[in-house]
Amino acid sequence: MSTAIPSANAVSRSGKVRPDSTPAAAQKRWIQDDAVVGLLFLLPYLVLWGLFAVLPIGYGFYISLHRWNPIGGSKFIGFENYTQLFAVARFWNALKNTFVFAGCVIPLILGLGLGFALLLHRRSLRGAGLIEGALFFPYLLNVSVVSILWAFLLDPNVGIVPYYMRLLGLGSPDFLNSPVFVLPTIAFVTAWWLCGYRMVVFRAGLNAIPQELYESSAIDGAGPIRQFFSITLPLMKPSILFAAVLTLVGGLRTLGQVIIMTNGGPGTSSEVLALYMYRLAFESFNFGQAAAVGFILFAIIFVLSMVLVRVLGLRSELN
Amino acid sequence: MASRREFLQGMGGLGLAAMTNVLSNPALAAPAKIWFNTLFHGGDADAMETIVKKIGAADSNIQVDLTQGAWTEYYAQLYNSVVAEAAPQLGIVDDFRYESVAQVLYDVTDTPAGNMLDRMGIKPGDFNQWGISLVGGKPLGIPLDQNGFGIFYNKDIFKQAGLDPEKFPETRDEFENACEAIKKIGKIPYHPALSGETRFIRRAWLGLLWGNNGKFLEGDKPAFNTDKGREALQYLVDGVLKRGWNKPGTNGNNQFLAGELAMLQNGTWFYLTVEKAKLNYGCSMPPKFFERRVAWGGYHLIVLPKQPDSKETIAKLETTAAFLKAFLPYTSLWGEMGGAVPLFKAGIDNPELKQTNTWRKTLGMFAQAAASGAMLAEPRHPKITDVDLAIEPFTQQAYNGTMSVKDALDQAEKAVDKVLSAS
Repeated sequence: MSTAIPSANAVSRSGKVRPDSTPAAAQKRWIQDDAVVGLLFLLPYLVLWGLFAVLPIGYGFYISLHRWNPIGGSKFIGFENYTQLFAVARFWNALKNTFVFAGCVIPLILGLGLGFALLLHRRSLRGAGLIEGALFFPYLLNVSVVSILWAFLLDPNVGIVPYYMRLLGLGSPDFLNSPVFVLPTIAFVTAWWLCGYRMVVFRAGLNAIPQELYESSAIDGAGPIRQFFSITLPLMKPSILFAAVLTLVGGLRTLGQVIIMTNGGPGTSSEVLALYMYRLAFESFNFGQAAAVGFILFAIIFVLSMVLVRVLGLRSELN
Repeated sequence: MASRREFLQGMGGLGLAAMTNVLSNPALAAPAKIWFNTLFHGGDADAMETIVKKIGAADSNIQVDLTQGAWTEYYAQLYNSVVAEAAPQLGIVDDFRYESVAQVLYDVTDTPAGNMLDRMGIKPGDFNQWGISLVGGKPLGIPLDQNGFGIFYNKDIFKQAGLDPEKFPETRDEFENACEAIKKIGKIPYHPALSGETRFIRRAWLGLLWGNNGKFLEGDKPAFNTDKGREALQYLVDGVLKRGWNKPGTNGNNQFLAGELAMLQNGTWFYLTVEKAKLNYGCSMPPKFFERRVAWGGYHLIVLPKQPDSKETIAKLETTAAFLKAFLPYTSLWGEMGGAVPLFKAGIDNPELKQTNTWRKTLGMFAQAAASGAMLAEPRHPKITDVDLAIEPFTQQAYNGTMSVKDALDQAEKAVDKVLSAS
């Protein structure tokens, strides 16, 4: 919503407007000046981003085009690492597992985070601060702690979860040793760990919605469900986008929980792409092919994140 | 009275003189501190820490920064640290990963500080099985120990089940009868694979395969998908799925230490852990399940990762040689505390070692097994890690009952073929 304001340069000291200072030219110059200033403000970030994001990604891609030997003597092989990967069943299995895991964990984290945020947003709820603190607490834990803790809780012999399930006569599936249950189980543990932070993000989004909108909509006859879908969700789009992108990225490149809780097992039932990449690089020392997996994973995350941004939009409806 | 400036000038001059003197006289400079990074993380880690402390206490010129880590991360760290020119001066390598990291290790007879064996005052003949240190005819490490699997058993459970706690089953029939007797008293009879991780299931199967006179690899070809291989895997699988000696997905270590499991296949390194648990236990080689009484085994080697070219490297390698020389007399302590069979002859032949509790409880049996060739190592191959990784998912799926033994070995064979034929 810019207006044609002539810049200071466009007006001579005598106060006369210079010949090139038509409103359109002045507007163009103003925009150019603004862009330069904006770019300067962005420059420190852009330098760091270039150094620590663009450069490593580019270098990773470069490595993926080689039979890489860090000690020396790497050989350029074009896209051979990629074509070899596409011919390996274990790669496709890891890709499938990655999507299955992401498909479980993303809705779980976002759903639980949003659900808790909505519950705690009710001012009448007593002890909301305490509950919020308890829900946020797991997020403070390290992935190793979370994984070891849950592996112990779910242990078929000494775990408290199977014990109580047996006590209740439910029978206990072998959570971490069953090809069917293993990925949903790790997704549940991940959701327990991370949903508290998403809840805080959603609560911030909820707090930014003016109360008057609810009051006026109530006068117009809107019930809580209508209010949720017509006011709450649309006005929370920036928070949802932020949480969704964060969860998507985290979900697709999950490694810590998997490596500690199952090491990809049973068999390869929980071997996700990040673990497959890790194994290629650090167990087989096949760095070129590992870089190719890394680049494929990056491309998937990038495309899906852009789709999310496109679907949800960056602009808040509050603006 | 001197002014503050004069005082500071005087002190500064003195400090400078002292510094110049120290730098010009290496004898007065601090000895080069070396970094020793091991993959030990159980009882053997405690043993190594004790030995390093003892060496440091005996000779202040040998300063060692000892770090010990998780097994799975170790080789990646070792490799990357050499690439980053920040490698430890000393490391430990399993024989089955030895060839995959050969590129980043010094030939111990040809380091920038010269022949380390000469510096240590030893020769190849001082070791049992010196041959395991050779890659392409060059010694890239110094043999430390031979380790491997045995069966640890709970004598109290044996007594409760009416079995002789001093006589471990030697035949397959005796073993199966013992399992059934143990099942009857409500205890868990047997866990063949330590904590139940994929690599331990594969190793348990390998022990049975070799016991059945089967082969793992023949040159660059998988040789395990035979009647003998399938029979061996079927026996392992039947133990959990058909006979109910245990369940898939369980951690045998936890079961054994909790006093619920009667027999656990575990390694030489389990000695200190089981001692600390204060269980009444015994240890034996596995029974003769098929043709031979054998178990999976391996070796540890002390290695010298490559360093950047510098004077500091030579100084550090000299300290490394001094440390290794000081380490040799402790190889018997390594056996006593770590539980593995020392490969330095003077260490294993030490009469004091044979008076120890370790020798009586486990090491004597393991030493005898090692000497008689009953602890078998995986074949040496540059791609053995990839071969193992390719097989493990399938042996685990067979063990879990989610894949038939035949399908598991068929698929494992295909996967290994692919690994071995890849450039």
